[in-house]
Amino acid sequence: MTPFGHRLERTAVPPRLARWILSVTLPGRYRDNQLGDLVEEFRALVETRGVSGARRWFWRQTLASTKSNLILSLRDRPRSTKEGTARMGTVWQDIRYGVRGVRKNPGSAAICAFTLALAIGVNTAIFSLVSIVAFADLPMQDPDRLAFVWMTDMSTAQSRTSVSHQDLVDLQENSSFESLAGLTLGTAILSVDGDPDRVETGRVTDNFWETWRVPLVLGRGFLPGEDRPGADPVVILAHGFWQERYAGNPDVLGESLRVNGRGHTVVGVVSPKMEFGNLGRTSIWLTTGEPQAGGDRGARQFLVSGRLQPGVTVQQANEEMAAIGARLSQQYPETNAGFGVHVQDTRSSLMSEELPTIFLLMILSVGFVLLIACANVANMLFARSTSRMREFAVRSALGAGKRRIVRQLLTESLLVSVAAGLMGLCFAHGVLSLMVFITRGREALFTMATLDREVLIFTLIVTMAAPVVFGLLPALRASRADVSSSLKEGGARSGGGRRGSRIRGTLVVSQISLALMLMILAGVAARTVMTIGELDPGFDGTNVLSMVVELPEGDYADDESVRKFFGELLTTASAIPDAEGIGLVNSRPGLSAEQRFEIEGRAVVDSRDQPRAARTVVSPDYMDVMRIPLFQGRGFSSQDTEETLRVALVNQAATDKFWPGEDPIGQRIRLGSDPEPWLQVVGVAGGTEFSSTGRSLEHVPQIYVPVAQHPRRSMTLMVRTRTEPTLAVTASRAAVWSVDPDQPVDDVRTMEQYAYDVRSNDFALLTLFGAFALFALAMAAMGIYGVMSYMVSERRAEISLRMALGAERWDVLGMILRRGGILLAFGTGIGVVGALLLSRLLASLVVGVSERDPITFVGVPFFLVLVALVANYVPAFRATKVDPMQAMRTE
Amino acid sequence: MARSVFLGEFEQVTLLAVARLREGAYGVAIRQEIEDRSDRPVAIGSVYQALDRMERKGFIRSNVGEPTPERGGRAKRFYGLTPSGRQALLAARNTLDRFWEGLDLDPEVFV
Repeated sequence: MTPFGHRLERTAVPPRLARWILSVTLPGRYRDNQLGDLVEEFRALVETRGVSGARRWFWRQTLASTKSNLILSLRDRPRSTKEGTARMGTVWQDIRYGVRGVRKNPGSAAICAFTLALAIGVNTAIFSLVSIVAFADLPMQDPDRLAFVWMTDMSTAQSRTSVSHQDLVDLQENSSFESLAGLTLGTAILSVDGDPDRVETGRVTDNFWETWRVPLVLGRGFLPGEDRPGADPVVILAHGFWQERYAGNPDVLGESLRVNGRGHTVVGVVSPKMEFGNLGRTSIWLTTGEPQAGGDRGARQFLVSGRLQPGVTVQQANEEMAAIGARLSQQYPETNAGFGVHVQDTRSSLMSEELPTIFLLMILSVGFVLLIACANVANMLFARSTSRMREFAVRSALGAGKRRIVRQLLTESLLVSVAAGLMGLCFAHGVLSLMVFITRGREALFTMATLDREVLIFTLIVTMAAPVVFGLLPALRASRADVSSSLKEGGARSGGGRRGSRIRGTLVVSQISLALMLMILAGVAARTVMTIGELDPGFDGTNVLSMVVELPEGDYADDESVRKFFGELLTTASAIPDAEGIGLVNSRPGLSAEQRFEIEGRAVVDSRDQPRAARTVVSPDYMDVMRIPLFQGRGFSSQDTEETLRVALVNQAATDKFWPGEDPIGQRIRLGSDPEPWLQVVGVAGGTEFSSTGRSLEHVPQIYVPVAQHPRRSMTLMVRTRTEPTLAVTASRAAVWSVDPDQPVDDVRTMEQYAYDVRSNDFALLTLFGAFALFALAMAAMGIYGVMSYMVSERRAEISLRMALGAERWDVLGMILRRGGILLAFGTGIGVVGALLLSRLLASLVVGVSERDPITFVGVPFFLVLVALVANYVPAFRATKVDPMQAMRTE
Repeated sequence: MARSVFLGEFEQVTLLAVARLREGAYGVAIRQEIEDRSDRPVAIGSVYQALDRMERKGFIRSNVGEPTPERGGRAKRFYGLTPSGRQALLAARNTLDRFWEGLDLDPEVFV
């Protein structure tokens, strides 16, 4: 023997995986012969080629033989119709046995099916949401050849900003895109038969329709040049709007529509495909024409997309556009310094940036729910297969093979799973309808979700796969039952062996760790949701009604008429019954774009260093109405008019940032780069900026200016009421109409409603996530309780015997709890570590709490441990009370 | 026996290997015989596939031997030619011979 003889001997076995592949693919008839042949040759080759050479040979033979072996296996199947029927017969037998088994024990089967149905239901529901985005039927033709061009604002790390018209024109000079089109959404006032109405509009460049290639059902797209100022105004109708307003009448082409006080000729009707996502609300399509063709390169409002030249990839386009972007920021440092350009594919562009993360979280969470459900069902099957040991023992004594028993048990599992799948579909439908109801149909994602083909396929796969996960282990174990001992002992308790308890221990550990991971993540999400509710937005929105009043340019051309309108409105509105205070603001609190401004006496070299602040135009009483505190100086009053000193208020963040250690009062600032007169800061007030996730933006500098000195056509009227604000809706509208009967009032909402709507996107999904987690918690708690108490109750005889032999109750309890404690420690450890790893995903979503929120990371494990300890304690305590003789007898 | 005239090349080779090995014709020996004489790697699976087909056609028959320890306790399956197998091989050879008759594939022919 060589010095390595021993080692050689030990490793000189054919590769295990290869052997397994062979034994699975080979038909029974040749399994032994062929495997034997290979092993024999393998051993001979070890002598001549060495172990690794022989192993390589074995692998080559295995892989080269697999196809032939599979063909042989298939050929080995039904050789005659008689055999075929026999085979089918056994399948039927399995199903019949299965149904009989289910009927014999309908309760446990129903619980299994129901548990699974809930899990399959939530999985289906979530998948249907994900599939909308993943398999969305996009309106544009060949969406893969379309790409979106975004600006990146490096100063705020916002990776997707819109593009200004000027930049769009410059970006159009490229070789990557056939055409580059711009789109911006907004509103316009539409007058039909003298009735003013605000509708949502899409404004697009003239090449938009040929870029997206969305079919028109009637008429034509925009012609080149139609987006230039001075071109004849034209309009294209959305399909829904056409159906609703014109009952689908094809004669609408050529009709005139008054938009913002100007006649527009209807030239086309776009396909209903265009009504997807945000665009679903758009009623009419206009050219970029009149108002915003202006020259401000800093006014970034266009969503830019283009059709790639044949053969150009998104990556290549990205490189070219980035280079153009870099050139623009050098050329126009005033507006473009710190701005980059990048290109992104269509599907990613249409998703909010946080959506993929949220979806990943949702899929993870429902996946966990499914696994937990499978673990629960597996455990129930275990318990049942233990009590059915005798049945299997009898069967195998009568000649049933191991495979046959496994197959039969899996058939039973599949029956349960199919029932669960059907119930799950109904459940998913319910969940989706409930979500539509809860979000009041405002969440496009939920209203678009349907149980379509992709979803059904998904559910089918889950339904078929689940039995393998939850049914295979119990089935394999049942098939290993030792015939003679099972029959001798009467079988009932023979499942409590070492192996059984080890498998069950694994189940407990995996269940605890999975449940913990999910629950901790969801706990953090839930804490976010709670904190969002509690966040102080800087104002008090209770009992405040708000509505948008946007004066048409045609009727209110000069500042004087605008000033007069809002002055009269403040007077009439103060007569609204129940009104406590009336205020005007240019737009409701929320995230507004920051504007550059200048501070007197401070020269700015680099435009990136120029101070920026959000500008808010308010009426004198607005601060009072919204309960925005004044920290220093004075607020605005009716004395501040266009003739008097031009004044401004700043918030604390602006003070801290621009006048650290100085008194801002008395300083002079100038908004924008226009040669406007200087504004004098007269006071410091609270800030009202908050982000779409509800994140309070206390750090955002803000400047307030009085509406009398900065008249604007579009203002929001705020009415603080003494009682329920919705009761003041009619009176408030009437107040507007008493000033101008033709003036539309839009977007009437209470501020509480508004605050909810602003954050509804992620909020709804986070809430859903939290709800699933709660659901999983209940499921896991039940499961853990079930397994652990079962494990203890199996030791009842042992416990009562120990008691009979004089053991102290507390010693016995301690013994039981120790075993449970070890499992718990393992499960908790794995779960917490997993949650810590996964919590990184949450980082971009959570608000107000850390993604490693200590309260959640301690509280959730604590709860599960408590459940588990009770699950151990209660049955153990009961067992100590049982009369030992009785316990032994029931054995 | 019209249908047995056309044997595939690999089938013929397999049958010939079985015939040559006489009593010693089982998986390992057959595979090595084919590999050695045809000078190309042969997968055991394809050998069994061919053997299975030949057995169905009645050209060979098989019986299982005793398990041996060097095979991990697995039994060999021994194969032997049946009279109709012998017939099929001869017929195949005759067919080929008739095609070769008077044919000369010396390189000059193609000049």
